[in-house]
Amino acid sequence: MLAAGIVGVGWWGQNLVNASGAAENIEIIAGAVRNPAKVTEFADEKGMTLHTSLEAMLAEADLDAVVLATPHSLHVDQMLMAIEAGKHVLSEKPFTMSKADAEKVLDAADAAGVTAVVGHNRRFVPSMAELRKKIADGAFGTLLHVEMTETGPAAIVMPQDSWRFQRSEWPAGGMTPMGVHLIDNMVDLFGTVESVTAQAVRRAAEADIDDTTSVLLKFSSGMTGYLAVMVTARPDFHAAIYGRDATARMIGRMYDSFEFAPREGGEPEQFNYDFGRDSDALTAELDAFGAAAMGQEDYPVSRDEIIHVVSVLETIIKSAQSGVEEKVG
Amino acid sequence: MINAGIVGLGWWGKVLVGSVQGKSDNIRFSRGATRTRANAEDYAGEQGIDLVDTYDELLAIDELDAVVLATPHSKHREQIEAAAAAGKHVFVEKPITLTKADAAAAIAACRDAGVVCAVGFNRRFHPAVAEAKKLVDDGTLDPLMHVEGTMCAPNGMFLAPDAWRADKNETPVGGLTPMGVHVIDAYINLFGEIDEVYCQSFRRAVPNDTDDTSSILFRFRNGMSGYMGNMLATAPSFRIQAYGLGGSFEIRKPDLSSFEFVPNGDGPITGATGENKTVTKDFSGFDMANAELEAFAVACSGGDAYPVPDADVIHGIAVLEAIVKSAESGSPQKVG
Repeated sequence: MLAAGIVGVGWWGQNLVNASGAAENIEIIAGAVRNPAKVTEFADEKGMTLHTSLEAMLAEADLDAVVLATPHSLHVDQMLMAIEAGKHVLSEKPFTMSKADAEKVLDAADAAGVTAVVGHNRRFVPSMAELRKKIADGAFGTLLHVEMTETGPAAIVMPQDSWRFQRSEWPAGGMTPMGVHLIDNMVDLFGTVESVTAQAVRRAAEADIDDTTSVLLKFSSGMTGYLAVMVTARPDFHAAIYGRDATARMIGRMYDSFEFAPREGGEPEQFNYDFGRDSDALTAELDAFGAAAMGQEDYPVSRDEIIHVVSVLETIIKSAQSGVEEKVG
Repeated sequence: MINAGIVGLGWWGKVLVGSVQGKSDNIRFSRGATRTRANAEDYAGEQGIDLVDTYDELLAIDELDAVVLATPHSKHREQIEAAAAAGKHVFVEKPITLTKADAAAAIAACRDAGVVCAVGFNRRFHPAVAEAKKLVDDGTLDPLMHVEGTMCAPNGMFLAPDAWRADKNETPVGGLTPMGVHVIDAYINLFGEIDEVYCQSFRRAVPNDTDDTSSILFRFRNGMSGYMGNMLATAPSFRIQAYGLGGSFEIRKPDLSSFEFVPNGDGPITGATGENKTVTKDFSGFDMANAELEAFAVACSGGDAYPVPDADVIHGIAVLEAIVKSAESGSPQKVG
């Protein structure tokens, strides 16, 4: 059982702490926050000590691991600090904002003999496991195309002074809060991405950020993809996989239901799961991190995948700026 | 009663005939011409259609008011011009032509001859599209952000190698001409002109030398962005979803029967939007082919003009040309 400290006890940090309660391999016993007064009640409830910085927490608490739920631009330095202190680290997505930084962190972790991984919780849902299996079984026939769109009103409902609402934290609109999840889903199911072409526009956001991003992808396998994220729209989710022999479509927003339809013969299969994307999957992710840190089992997002997802994100941001197709590095 | 001749009695020509023959007070097919006459004799007999051997013969029949063209795209311009010269109204399947210059010339020929030129954008008549257009025109969704559209069919897998649709000069960029142009016309109808496109198009599964998996990004003149996917080697499907600050609508199913509008509430970001103000409508049973031919007949009789403006038709072909160019060049392309 790993003892972990979490940096960032805001909305998402609290989700992680709540999920850790059901975890078997890890326990969150400390939190580092800029303003401890805001979360003392929560911390007390959870039996967490509070510290005013990662540095302080590393010095003051007896930890095996660190979990980061902090602004994206801080991830690299925070991961390196934790690694230098000999701690395993789980960072929220995106792992880093550049491929170079991702490699730097993973190399440092290897050298220090600790585990550094990224919180792609949506890998841990049963619908993704089933889709992975269907693809491996060839149930779709030749794969043609995938579409994934996620939208939400974050840029409308969150306070406008949130750290998120600047281009340095949210380049290309919703790519870092939501898009990177979709990239990871696609890399998980369909393999590496060879090139991307992206466009990002600002249509409704008050803050100076793009709110509508759409991307075309070419996979190394030859299939293609489309990805879109919007941050001034109602909460919605669309995901569809098109194969020669079958198609699949996610129902609802939470990855807990999908329909698989063979093109010929038979009724579509419905798959429904009682498994929370942002709760049970977080518990599974934390447990997987713990198991990896304790040397029991590889984390299901490989080193190459961690780097590749960052690389795709970086290239999408580049393409949104250049306006042309960009090869993924 | 408009007396019409059907030109092209392949699969789609038969769909057009069947949508009105014996059911309409406004239009009836009395004559037909098709490339391989022998293949159509039985069907024509059943439908009460007299076949002639050539298109020219058809045009020479005085009592014919109109021709309906369900023919290969590369033939359309010359066939439209010939019809106009013969004083016949023209209903032509989409796409009207493959170049903007040809589209403009064909439309001008009809205008100059004082005959109707109607393009088969049957989705314009669908009540789901009318619902969507009301939402857009009312400003309910404003500001508009993005639209997604996907239209698929498995037809690419079943085309004979010598079928005209298997010739990529007739059908560049895979599903663009059979299906994509319908979605593009819906976009033009709903959101106005398109400024720039980027297309990637590949062959993944079909036996013939044509593409079957095409995807396109759009930028509209009004500032919103868009996407379209067309696939010719997968199950039939249709979807258009548009997103605005005010909410979004989604039209689904190959017959466009499923319509849903969800307003954008201001609940927490995990999705609770309080009182459920979703509007769901079922438009099962609407016959789009019947609706477009009825509207054509009305226009031919001097009633309401066919509701697809010439400017939209020509712009749609400019978009098509830009998409084909973008797919070839690998670069974004401005619409001319």
